[in-house]
Amino acid sequence: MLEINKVVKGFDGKKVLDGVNLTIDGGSIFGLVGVNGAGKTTLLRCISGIYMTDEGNVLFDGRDTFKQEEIRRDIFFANDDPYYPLASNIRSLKEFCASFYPLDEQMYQKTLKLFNLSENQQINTFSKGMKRQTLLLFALSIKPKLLLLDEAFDGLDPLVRYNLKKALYDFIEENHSTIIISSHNLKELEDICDSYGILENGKISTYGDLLESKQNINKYQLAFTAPIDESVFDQFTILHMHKEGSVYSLVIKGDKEETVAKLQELHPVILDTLSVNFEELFIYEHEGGER
Amino acid sequence: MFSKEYFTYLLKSKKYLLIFILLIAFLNAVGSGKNEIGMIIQGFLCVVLTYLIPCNVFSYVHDKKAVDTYFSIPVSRKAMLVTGIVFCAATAYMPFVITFSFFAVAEGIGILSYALALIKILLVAFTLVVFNTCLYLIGNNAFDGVVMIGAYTVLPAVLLTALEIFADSYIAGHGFDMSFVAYLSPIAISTDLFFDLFESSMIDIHNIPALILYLAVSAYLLYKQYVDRAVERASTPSTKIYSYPLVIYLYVFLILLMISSSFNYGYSSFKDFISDIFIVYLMLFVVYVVAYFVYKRKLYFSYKLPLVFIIAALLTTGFSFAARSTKGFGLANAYDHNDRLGQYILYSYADYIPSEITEALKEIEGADAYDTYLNVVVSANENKGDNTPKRQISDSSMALFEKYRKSGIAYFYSGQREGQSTNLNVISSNGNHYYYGIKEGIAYSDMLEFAKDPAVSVIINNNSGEYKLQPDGSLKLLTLYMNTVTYD
Repeated sequence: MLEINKVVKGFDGKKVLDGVNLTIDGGSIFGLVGVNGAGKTTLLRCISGIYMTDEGNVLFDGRDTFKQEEIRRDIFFANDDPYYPLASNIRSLKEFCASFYPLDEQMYQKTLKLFNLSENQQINTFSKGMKRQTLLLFALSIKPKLLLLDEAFDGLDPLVRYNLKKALYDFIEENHSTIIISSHNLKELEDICDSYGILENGKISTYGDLLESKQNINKYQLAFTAPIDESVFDQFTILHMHKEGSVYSLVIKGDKEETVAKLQELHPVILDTLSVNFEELFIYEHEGGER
Repeated sequence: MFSKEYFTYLLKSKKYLLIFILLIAFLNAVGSGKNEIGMIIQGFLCVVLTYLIPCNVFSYVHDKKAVDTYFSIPVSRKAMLVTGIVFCAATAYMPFVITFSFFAVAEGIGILSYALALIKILLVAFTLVVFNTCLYLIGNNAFDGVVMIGAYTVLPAVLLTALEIFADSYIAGHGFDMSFVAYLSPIAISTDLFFDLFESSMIDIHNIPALILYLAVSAYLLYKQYVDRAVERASTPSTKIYSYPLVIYLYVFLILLMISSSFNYGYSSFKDFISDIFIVYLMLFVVYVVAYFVYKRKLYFSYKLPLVFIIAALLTTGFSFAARSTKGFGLANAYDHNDRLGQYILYSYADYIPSEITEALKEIEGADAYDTYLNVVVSANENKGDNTPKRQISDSSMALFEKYRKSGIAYFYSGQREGQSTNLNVISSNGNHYYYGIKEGIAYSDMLEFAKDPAVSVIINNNSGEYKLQPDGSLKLLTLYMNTVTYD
């Protein structure tokens, strides 16, 4: 289990993380989302023990990831712009990883084959996608209990994305590990994540089970024969509202059946209910938070 | 505190570099044998490696991408640091061990001296590696790290030059022992230790405490810099106060002190002084602005830049004028004139030799006696390289030496430095060197007085021979130079 306790981290006097609290259970694939500059990468670096937090701590399986280095054997951070030493190849990187982590040769060979990578080719000749795959090859081969993937799907073609998702499913199934993925590609996250957290203004503003949250936020389209007093909507938690003539499009947070029952009492001539996807959920939560 | 995994990785990842370094050491050892040059080359390589290897091994600290990889591995920061330092020191040290072992066998060096020499050089390797790594980590990027190593390594030499110029300009006699500046540089101490290996002082340990002090202080600072380091500093401009800001101000201040001291040398008028140095100040200001550009990585100009420069220029100029007004803050008199066991050499040139001397020479050598290259040297307790015990200089000789010294001080502060006819060199018994330029020559009566003192010799040299002045005014031939003058 990962526990992030009141983590504060700032740069040059500006707080990027301002008291982040979060608990993620084992075996979960957690989608970390937020606008650019929200502090997703900073949070991942704090979790992986790279950054010393200004306040608070990060515990994984009860151990401090910064102070107790042995726990980092169970954590792997795959950043968005990986470092490869000059003239290195997959073989030399394997030497590096094997020096510090318990590398699973079988998993290594399987993933190498899956990604179709050459062991002896110099990494600096690789495309961006191949470099990312190389990092993921090691991320999966050392079988960490906590895998941190920063912008995991960026720069990958659809086939590789498919292969990666498949590899992650298999990985979770076999190892019961926790994966935290930060990405702007919410459609990809929606396919793979079971829980999520939105990082906003240095804090986790919303988090929870993705399916539950999606069920809890719905889009409603209503049409009325005559203009109505909009104050009738005050009883709902409205994340988004759009009006065109006497047709209203509302995104409301709350139990779907209860909301529908209350909306029926307003006697609309049309009442349609639509579910939202993860991207819409993020946008509406973000709008709601700003409102 | 030590990571076997990380050390093994370092050995594996740098195996070609290690093989290359060890091969050079081996070839050097076999090729040079008893030759000291081989040892000097290997000593030089050892020192160079203490600069280069830390820059290579710790380069990840300055790489924004690499810090993610290195600081997330399951090795504590303490262990990463200790292991990295041990690797660097071993890489610099082991080649030297190979060469020195060959040298020791060839020279028949005893086992105790051999072991002690190796321990000394091990200490040198560790100290320099820790010190240089500490400097390298002052910067926030690789370029700045290298700049910091260079800046702090050269700083003692710049300080020494500034002090020498200042003392030369304002302190008559300039007899200050500047050797303490060497203690500001571990590289100077280390070089000294390397050269000890060729001397009987192989087991001399006088520099060891200073080196241990450097090791302890730099190890503490390195520990604080590395273990408590905010890794997000990587690949950003180096803004810590002890990086560029301190280095720039120290260099500017010392160079300004050199300039103000140098230009005040001739005791020009204040107006001339200002007009002469203006262009030099302007050039230094441009260099200062460029240094700020390197520091900030952008064109930077603020009112603080010229303000600090002007304040530093005023301070150093004021300091120089104060030194001039107070006759070197009274330091010219900070001299032990009762030191009777020191060495004194009073030296006069041909144009200022008393006529009595030239006449006496003509009596011996004839009318065509050489007097063009004539000189008189009055020396007391001159170090002749033998073990002759030093004699007490008589009161009258001491008084005469003091008279000439005071004359030299007066001449120094008169503002005239040209046309001196006599020099007085004094080496006090504690090793301080004093030098005075004196306008007048040595009076004949003083020479006769000196000649009475058994501790003092008055030697007259010309092209044909060397004579010693006797108390009665006669000359005693000491050496006749061959192939210069033939006598009938």
